[in-house]
Formats: sequence, structure tokens, C-alpha cells
Amino acid sequence: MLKVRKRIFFTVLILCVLFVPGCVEQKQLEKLGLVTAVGYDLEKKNVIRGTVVVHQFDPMAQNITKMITTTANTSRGLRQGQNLQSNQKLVTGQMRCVIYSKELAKKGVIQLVDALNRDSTVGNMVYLTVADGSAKEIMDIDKTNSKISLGTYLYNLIKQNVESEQILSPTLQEFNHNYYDIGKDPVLPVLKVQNRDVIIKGLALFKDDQYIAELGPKEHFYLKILSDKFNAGTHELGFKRSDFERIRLKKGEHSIRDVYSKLFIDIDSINSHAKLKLIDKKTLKFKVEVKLDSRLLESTEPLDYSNPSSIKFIEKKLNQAMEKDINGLMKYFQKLDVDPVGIGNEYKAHLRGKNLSKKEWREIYKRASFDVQVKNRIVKTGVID
Amino acid sequence: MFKWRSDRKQAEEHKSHSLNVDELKKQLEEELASCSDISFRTIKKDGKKILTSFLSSLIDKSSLDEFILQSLQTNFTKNMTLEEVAQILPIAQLSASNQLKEIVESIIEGSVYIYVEGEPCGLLANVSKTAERSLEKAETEALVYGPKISFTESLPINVNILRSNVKDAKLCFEDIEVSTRVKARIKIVYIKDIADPNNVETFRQRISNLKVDYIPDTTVLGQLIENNSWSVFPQLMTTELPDRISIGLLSGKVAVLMDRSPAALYGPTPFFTFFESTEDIYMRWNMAFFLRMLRLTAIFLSVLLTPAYVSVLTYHYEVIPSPLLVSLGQSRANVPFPPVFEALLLEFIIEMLREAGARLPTKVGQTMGIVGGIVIGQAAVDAGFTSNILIIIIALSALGSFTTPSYLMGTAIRIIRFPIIIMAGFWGGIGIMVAFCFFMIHLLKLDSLGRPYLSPAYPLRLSDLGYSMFRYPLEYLSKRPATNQPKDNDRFPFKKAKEKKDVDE
Repeated sequence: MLKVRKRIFFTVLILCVLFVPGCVEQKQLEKLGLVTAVGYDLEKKNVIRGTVVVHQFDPMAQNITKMITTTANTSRGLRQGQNLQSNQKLVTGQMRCVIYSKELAKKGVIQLVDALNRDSTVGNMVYLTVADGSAKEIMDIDKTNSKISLGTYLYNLIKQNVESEQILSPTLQEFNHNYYDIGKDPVLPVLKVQNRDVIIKGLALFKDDQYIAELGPKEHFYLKILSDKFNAGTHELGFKRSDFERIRLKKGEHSIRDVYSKLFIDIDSINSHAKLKLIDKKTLKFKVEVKLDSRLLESTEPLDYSNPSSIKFIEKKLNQAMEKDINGLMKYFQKLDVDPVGIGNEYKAHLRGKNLSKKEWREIYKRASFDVQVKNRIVKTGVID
Repeated sequence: MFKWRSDRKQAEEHKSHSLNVDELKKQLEEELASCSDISFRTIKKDGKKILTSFLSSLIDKSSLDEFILQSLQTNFTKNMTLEEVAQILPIAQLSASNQLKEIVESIIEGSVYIYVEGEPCGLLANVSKTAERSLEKAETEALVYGPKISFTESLPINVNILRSNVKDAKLCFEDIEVSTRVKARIKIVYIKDIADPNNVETFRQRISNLKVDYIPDTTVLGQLIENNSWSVFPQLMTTELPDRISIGLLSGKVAVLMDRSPAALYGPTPFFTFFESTEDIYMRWNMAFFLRMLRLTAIFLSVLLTPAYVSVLTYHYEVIPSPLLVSLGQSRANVPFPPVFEALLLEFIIEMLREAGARLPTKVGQTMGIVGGIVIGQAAVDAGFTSNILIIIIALSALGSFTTPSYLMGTAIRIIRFPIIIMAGFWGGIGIMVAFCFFMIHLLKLDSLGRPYLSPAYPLRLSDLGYSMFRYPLEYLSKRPATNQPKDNDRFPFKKAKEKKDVDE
């Protein structure tokens, strides 16, 4: 009995091994066209134009990348159209970067992001970006500058800046999280073509999935401090020269330089911690407390660092300046009705079980007020690396 | 189990020979008809005939002449009894017998049968001379560090080496009878108050129950007595290093020596034993620890690297890191075969190279290496036969399998790669997992001498990890490994080992 059953078991096993593989779709690397970057533009009403950069492994071909552009109504339709123009099957498993044109982003991108979410081969770590002009313009770089492979270049461009803490991480996962989370809005980097190269121009602020405004690099620093634990990143602050008269060194070689009319100080935050706190639920007063450990990297005037009291003085000045800037930034966000910092999250945490809809939050957000406190501690003024 | 021949008639077993010298001669000639080198020498002294018979190829001629013939010629007198005859022969191994069967067997083993006419029985004198080679360095288990001596084909010499290694009165050599057509001299070796009696009993019972015609070597003996003979994995280990056996004996293992076999069999030897080298013990613990980790990693890579290549390139292109993407894709683009076929082909070539190299004399072997390395490696890539990344991977996995100290286990590792590659080609990553799980379950089910095969890892015996998977500093190895279930657990008092004695104490 047992023997017969064993024989049947092994027969079934062997049959499985032989026939089941026929059902699996083979995706041999060299037979695929690997999409490394995708760009979406708004062609006209109802129609989007999709551009892809494809890696192809053809021993005869000189260029390993190829650009394909088509128009369709949906991103799936684009894929089909693109597949008709390619000798190898287009797959998205190696996609690194998605670019939406500003025009498209203004109308909202969630349906395109959703298409990415549904595609199981697209990883969660794909970077989403916004093009300053059209996405095609950026993708065209691949043709004009044949030395770089655009997908990898964009990936490294963003990755490098995320790792050195210059910009907030714009992955698909982060976008989804911020979009679906009530009380926070996504931010994405803005790309621009400059001297036949792609650069990061700034940060795009989103209200839900719609592009609202662009943030320059200066505000960027504060946004990072407010929304993330921040480890490295330099920031430049300008002051009136007269404010620092008290601790300025006047002797010897250190004389007043006339290059600058103001005094600039560069600090490098080595450790930051931001705390958002709802102090009063009724008046909607939020306390924003930022603790910073920083190094003083550079100042355009010779200052006296040897005296602890003068360091305290610099700290105080920096605190005041930063408080003012952060306050201004919060007001700006409030005016635009975007919440990239996640104030809504903090508010929601005090609701105790009650639901908060997006609409409700937008209403409440308008009435919120902020009390900003910055505690900056200069830990080092000496040699920098 | 192995009934190759039916038992002979019992009556013939106990038949005493004729008491007449000429008839005895005839009887012996009849029994040993196929041995053309049977020789007789009849001495006549004081009117009595003394017959000596022997196989001339097996005995030491000078001792026959000097100790037997000369003694008989000078000292024999007419009225001597058998005991008195035995007294005049300066031979250590002497026994009396008149059983024809026994006499024939002894003559085959190199004894001389001395029969004085009229006596009820004769004397068997052992003056055998066997072909032996001198003690040499270990060949298959070459060492950099530690004792170099290796076992030879001669059982007495092997016993001698072991006895001098382990000078312990409790070291026990137990003779085992095996009912084979060709008599095998087998000894079970263990230390009486350390080794688990169950292990000894298992060996004893399994060996004595054997019914085979011939056991050429301990490796064959191991195959005959291990539990699962369908498995690729060897369950008992053979080694040619006496120090390995000595260390094993003192940790509670049991060894088996066999005459005419240059390797000793020992057990219980779980999976990880095959990755231990004696050098690990001779070296400082940190180096040995590193080397053991290196070996285990190498095995893992060796088994899984090629299948991973196959499955990634056939099914899971998503996981390729982008810096590798271009080089992998470019080299694959030239290859006309699917990755499975490519990998199998190259693995096959490597195995062929190894097999060809192993069978060839050293001088030609070098040429083989060049042919394999340069011609096949370089030309195959140039011709678009394989991708150069695969060549690296294959070379790495071949190298990995050679790090195993046991040649047998290394071969097993190389063989299990093939089904995993095929499964990877069929089902991708799932196939690798299925095949790997199959082997894991198989390993879990195996046992070595009734002890779990994956022993210190499963069942987890933390104290044993220092002996097998890792290597702890010696002072922490105060307990004998529990895998062997030793009678006596303690090697030395742990507390005292930690004290470092200075001169003034």
C-alpha cells in the first residue's frame, strides 16, 4: 500500500517538475527592454505623452539606451504603444525614476502614481520627481548627452542628495504615505535641464496630489529640519554687520573686508530634533521646538570664538534669525494651504478616536497659529573636515 | 542483508586431516589446488618425517629457514612430544591444530604448518611477511600545520600509531568477525570509559551482521553500515590522519580500523564534522574560527550562487542592482542559450576538467589546468558561448566546494548543485527554495550512527558549537561534545583552566 502511494507521489512530483514550468513566464534579461526612467507630459486634454528610457542589450547596437515616446490616455495605454516601437519586451522592474511635468502635476498625479502602485514589478523605492518644464525635455538629455544613461543618472542624482541630506527622500513609498496620510502633504524634487545636464532646482510642494508651489534651497533646510531627523546639511544665514560689532576682532590682519555689506555665517547642523506640539486645542496653538547641535563653519567677518559668552551671543543671534525664518515658512505653508511638515498628524493625535477628513483638516489648518522656538547649540568652531 | 553466497556444508568445517604425511600432503594440495605457490618441505630425522607446508609468496623465507627448518634439523629428537617441539621453535605466534579448514585458512594468511608424523595435531607458526609501504605524509588530507603522519595499509602499524598517540590503558581494540568470503581483519577502537557503549554496540552489531564477499576498504565498510545508502551525503567519515582519530577517540567517538585499508572509519560524524580540519585545533582559535566560517560561507556560495544567477537572469531581473545591470546584460546578450543551459554546460565543463585532472599524472595535469583555465575560459567567452560573469561565478563555486576538508563531502556538495540549478531554471527563486528545502529536510532526517546528522545545529547543543561549527578558545572546551554522548563529560576542570599560574604560586 505504502509503496504504491509513494510511487504515485513521486510520479506527481516529477510531472510537476516537468510541466509546471511551462506556466511560468520567463523573463530572460537579454530579451527585455528595461525601462529605467519614465516621463509623463500633458499633451492635450485627456491625452498624456509618455516617454521612456529603455536599456537594451543588443551586442550590435552602439547605444545601450533608447528613447521611446507615445501618446495615450492612460499609462497602460502608453506602455502598449511603446511596446509597439520596441524590438524587446518592455518591463518596468528596473524603473528608477518617474518624472511628471509641472503642467501635469498641477492637475494632479494620483492616477498615474496609482498605476505604479498596482504594478507589482515596480519597486517602492522608485523616485518620483517633477520636471520644471516638460518631462520630455529632460528625457531628451539621454540623446544629446550620450555618455550618461539617464535612468541611472537621475537615480544617482537624487540618491546622492538624499544621502547627503540635501533633499527629502522622494520615493514612491514616501509619496504614498504622505498622500494617504491625513494631515500631511507630499513633496517632490523639481528637476531642470541646465547646460545639457539635469539638476535639482528645488522642492515641489503638493496639496494632496496637486503641485502648488516651489520651494527654494534656503527654505528647504528648514523644511528638512522640521520634518526629519537631520544629521548633516549646511545653512547660510545673513546678518547686519552692526549686530556683531561687540564680538568682532579688530586687531591685526583681521580688518574689515568690504566685499560683503552684510555678515554671513555658515552653520552645519550635525544633529537636529524637531518637536511639534499642540498646546491648545481650542485656539489651535502649536509649539514648534527645534533643537540643533551645529558647527560653525564659516563667517565672513573675524569673530571672537575664544570667549564662551561670545559663542552664546552668536547662538542667540542665530536662534532669533532661524525662529523668524521658520515662522515665516510656516505662515507661507498656511497661506498656500499645504502641510508638508505634518502639523495635521500632530492634531490628529489629539483627537482620540474621532475621524478627521482631509477637508476638515484644511479648514482647521487655516486657523492654526505657531509658536516657534529654536535652541541652537554651537558645539564646534574649529577645524572642519 | 548481503547474502551473496549460501552457507557451506557444516560437516566440512570440522574435519581433522589425515595423520599420514603423504596423505596430508595430498589433502592440502587438493584444498589449495588453485594456489600454485603451495610448497612442502619434508625433513627426515631420527626416522621420523616432519612436513612443513606454506605458501611461498606469503612467508618470510629467512625466518622459515632460520627459525623453523634449522631448529628442527638441529634440535629435533625422536621422542619429542608436540609441546617439546613447540619449545624448540623460536617463534612468537604458535598454535596447535588439526582442523583442515583452519589450517588452510592459516596457510592463506601466511602461516607455516608443521606436522610431525604420528602426532594427533600439528603446529601453525606465523612467519608471514606482508607487503607494506613505509609511513608517509597524508596525501588526500594534506596539512600545513600539525602532525603529518598518516595511516598505512597495514593494521599492526596503524594500531601501533594509534597506541603511541593515545597512551591510555583504557584504549580498547576489539576484534570483530565478519562473515565474508575473504576474511577481513577489523578492529573497533574506543576508549572504554569515554565512548558511549551504544555507539560501540551499533558499530559492533552492524559490522558483525554483514554478509558480503569482500570489503576492499573502510570507505566501502562505511557505505555498507551507514543508515541511508540512497543519500549523497556520507554519514560516516573516513580519515587517513591518526591524530584526527586520536582527537575523536578522546571526545567520545568510536573508530574502526581494517587491515589493508589506509583510512580509518569513525563515528558518529555529523554534517559539520566534514568541515572540520585538524588544523583548526592546532591553530589559534581566532584563525580557526575565521577559517571555519569561511568554509561554511564557501559551501553556501558554492551551492547557491550558480542557481541564483540562473534564476535571476531567467525570472527575477528586478533584483539586479543597477551598477551590475549593464555588465550582466551586455555579457548575456552574446549568449545564444538560456541561462540554465549555459550554467549546466559550464558546470559540466568544470566537472570534466576536475575529473580529467584527477586521473592524470601530475605533469599532464598542469597542461589540463592551462587548457581549462585559458583556452576554455577565455575562448568560450570570446565565442559567445557563455557570459564572463558566469565564468566567475562557476569558478567561485568550484573553489568553494574545494575548501571542504573532506573530499567526499566536497563531491557531494558539487553534485547537489546540479538539481538545484535545474530547479532554478524551471521555477526560478521558488525552485531554489524548493530544492534547498528538500535538501534541508533530507539532512534533518539523516543520522550518523543513530545520532542526529545536523547535530550541534539541530538539535541545538550550544556547548557543542565550540567544537564543530565555531571554534572556541581551548579553555572553554572543558566538556566533551554532547553529540557523542560520552560516558565521562569532563575533559578538565573549567575553573582551574582559567587561572593563569605564575612562578611564585
